[in-house]
Amino acid sequence: MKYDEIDQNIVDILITEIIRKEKEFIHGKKKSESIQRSELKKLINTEVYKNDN
Amino acid sequence: MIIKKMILKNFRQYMGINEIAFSSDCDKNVTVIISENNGAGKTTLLEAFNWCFYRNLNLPNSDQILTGAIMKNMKDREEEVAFVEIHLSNKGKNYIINRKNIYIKIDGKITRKSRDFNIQIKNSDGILENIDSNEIENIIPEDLSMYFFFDGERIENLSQENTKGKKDIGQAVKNILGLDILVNAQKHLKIILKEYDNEYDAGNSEKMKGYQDVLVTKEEKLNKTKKDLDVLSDENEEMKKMLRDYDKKLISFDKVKELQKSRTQIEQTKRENIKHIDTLYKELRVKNKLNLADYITSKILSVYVDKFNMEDFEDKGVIGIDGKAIDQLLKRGVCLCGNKIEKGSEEYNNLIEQKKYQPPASLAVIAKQFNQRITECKNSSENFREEINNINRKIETINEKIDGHSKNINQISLQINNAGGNIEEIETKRNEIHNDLKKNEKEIIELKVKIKEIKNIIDKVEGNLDELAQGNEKNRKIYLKKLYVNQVKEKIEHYYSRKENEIIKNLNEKVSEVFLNLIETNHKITINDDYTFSVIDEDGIESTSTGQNIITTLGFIGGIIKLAREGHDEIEVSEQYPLILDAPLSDLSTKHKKNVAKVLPNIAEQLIIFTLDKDYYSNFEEVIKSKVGKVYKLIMNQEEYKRTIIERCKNVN
Repeated sequence: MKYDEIDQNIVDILITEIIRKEKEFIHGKKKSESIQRSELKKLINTEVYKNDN
Repeated sequence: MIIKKMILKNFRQYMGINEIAFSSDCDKNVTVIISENNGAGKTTLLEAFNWCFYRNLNLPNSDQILTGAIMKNMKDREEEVAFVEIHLSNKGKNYIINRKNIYIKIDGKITRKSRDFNIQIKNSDGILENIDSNEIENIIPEDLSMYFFFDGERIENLSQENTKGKKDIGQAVKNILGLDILVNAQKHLKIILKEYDNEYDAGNSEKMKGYQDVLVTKEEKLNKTKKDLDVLSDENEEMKKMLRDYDKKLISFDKVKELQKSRTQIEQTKRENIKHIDTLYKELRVKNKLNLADYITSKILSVYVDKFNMEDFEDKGVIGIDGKAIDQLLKRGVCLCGNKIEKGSEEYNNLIEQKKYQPPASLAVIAKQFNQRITECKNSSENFREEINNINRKIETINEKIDGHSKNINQISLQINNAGGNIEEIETKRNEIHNDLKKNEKEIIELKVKIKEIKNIIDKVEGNLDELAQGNEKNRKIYLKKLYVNQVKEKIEHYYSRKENEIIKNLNEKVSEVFLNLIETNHKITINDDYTFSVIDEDGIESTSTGQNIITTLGFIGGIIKLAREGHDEIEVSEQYPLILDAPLSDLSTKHKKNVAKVLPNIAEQLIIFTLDKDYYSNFEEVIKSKVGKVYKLIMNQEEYKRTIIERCKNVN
C-alpha cells in the first residue's frame, strides 16, 4: 500500500469519527454489527470523496 | 454508582417479598450477606442483579424464575408474579429498575403470560418518570458489569489462571479502560477491508474473479484453523491444570514431598530457560534482518575492491554531478558559485576537463560510489559476526542447561515412581498427561505456522487484486478507500498497542500495591502481557496454594478497580461502580482474612460481600466491622421446595 496520495487530515477525521461511533456502539443503544459496519462505510465514503463533490 | 435497595418477589427460592437495603454510607460502605451453608442462595441473589439489569441468569434451570413452592400451589387460571427491583443512584440521579415476569396456570400447565422491563428516574420534584429501557446500557453497561460482579466461580477461574479466567480478566481490563472501543474499531475495519475486496468489480477478468475466490476460501480456512487452535489451547490449559493437580497430590505424600518440590523448581527454571532461548532466537532474527545483507555484500564486494586503484581517482570526480549538469552550466554561462563561464576561459576549460571524470564519461564517480558502499556495509556489519557468534554460544550454553534439567526431571520421576503404591499410580498418570501435553504443544506450534502461511497467501492475493483494480475507475475508487481504511487501522493498532503497554504497566503497579497489603510476605506478583499473573516467592518459586491464589485474585480485582477509579484519558470510562463479591474466604489463613477485611472496603466506593457465617465471624468481622453498615442473613428452609428468606441482623456493631 502507498500512502503518499492520501490526505492525512481525512485520516485524522476518520480516526476521530470512527472511535466516536464505536464508543456509541459499545455504550449506547444496541444495534447489530452489520449496521455498525455499514454506518462506518458510509462515513468512509463521505470523508474520502467529500472533495470530489 | 451506588446500589441502594433490592426487592425480590417470588424470584427462584426467594418466596414472597424479600428486601435488602444496602449500606451507602461513605464511612460504612460495606454490606455483608451471610449464610450458614453453601446453597442457601448467595449466588442466586448475586444473579438477581444480572437478571434484573440484563435478563441473564447464570444458574441451572435458568428459565425457571418463579419460586417452585408458588408454582406448586397455583390454581387453574391463577396468575403469579416474579420480579426483581433495584434502586440505585448514578451520576447524581436516582433510578428504579424493575424486571417482572407474570405467569399463569392453564389446564395444569404454567406458562409465562408476559414480561416487562421498566426503568424509572426520579426527577427533581421527587416524581417518578418512565424512561427508555435501552438506557440501562448508559447506566450500567453490560460489558462493564463483569468487573463489579464477582461470583465464586469466576474468582476460582481467575485464580486458576485457566483460559476462561484469562479471557475474563483481559476483557474486564479492556472494558473498564476503554480499550474495547479500539478493539471493536480494529475488528470492524478489518471486515470492511475484506468487504471492499469483494466489492471490486471483476468484470470479464477471470484472474480477478479467481483472486476473489481464493480470498474467500483462504479466509474460511484461516477461521477454521484459528478455531482448531482455540480448541487445542483450551486442551492445553486443561492438561496444565491436571498436571498441577497431580503435583499437589504428590506433594501431600511426605515420602516424595521434597522430590516433587525440587521437580517443580527445576521445571520452572527449564521453562524460563526455554523462554530465554526464544528471546535469543528473536534477537538473532532481528540482527540477521538488519545486518546480514550488508555483511554478505561487504564480503563479496571486498573481493573486487582491490581491482580498483582508488588513488587513480583521488581528487577527480564529484559524487552527485553528471555530464548533463556540466553541459547545462556551460550552456547558461554561469557557474553554481555565480562566476561567469565564458567559452575558452580557464573556468570553461576546467569544466570540460571535469566532465571527463563525471558519469557517463568516467568511471571515477561510480568507483567512488562503489567504494563508499563497501565502507558503509563494512561499518554496519563490522561486529555482526562476533555478535551472532555470541548469541549462538549463549543458545548452546542454555540448551546444555535444558538438557541437564530434562535429565534431572527424568531421574526425579524415576525416584517418585519407585515409591510404589498410590504414588506410583499418580506419577504414571502424571507422565501420561505430560506426554499428551508435549504432543499438544507441538500441534499448537504447527497450527500457528499454518496460520502464518495462510495469512501470507492472503496478503499476497490481496496485493495482486489491488494491482488489477487499477484497471478501471470504479475499482480505483474502492482501492482509494482501502488505502484510507488501512492507514486508519494501522494508526489505531499503533495507539492501541502503546495504550495497552501503559495500562499493563499501571495495572502492575496497582495490583502489586493492593497485593502487598493483602499478603504481607516477600511474594511478588507480576502481570504478563496476556493479563495472566504469576506470584513468585522469595526463592523465585511460583506459588500454587489455593489460599494464595485467592489472595492474588482479590489483589488483581482490587488493582483493576483502583486503576479504573483513577481514570486515565478521554476514551476511558470514569464512572465508579460498587464491588459485589462472593468472597471465598474459607481457604484463607487468619492473617489473610484480616488483611482482606482491612483492604477491600478502601478499594471500592461500595462493597457488598457474600460469605459464609463461619468465615465472617472468625477473624473477618473483628477487622471489617467498623466499615460495615448492614448485615443480612440468608435463612434457608429445606422443605420439599427450597426456600430462602432474607433477614436483617440488628445491632451490627
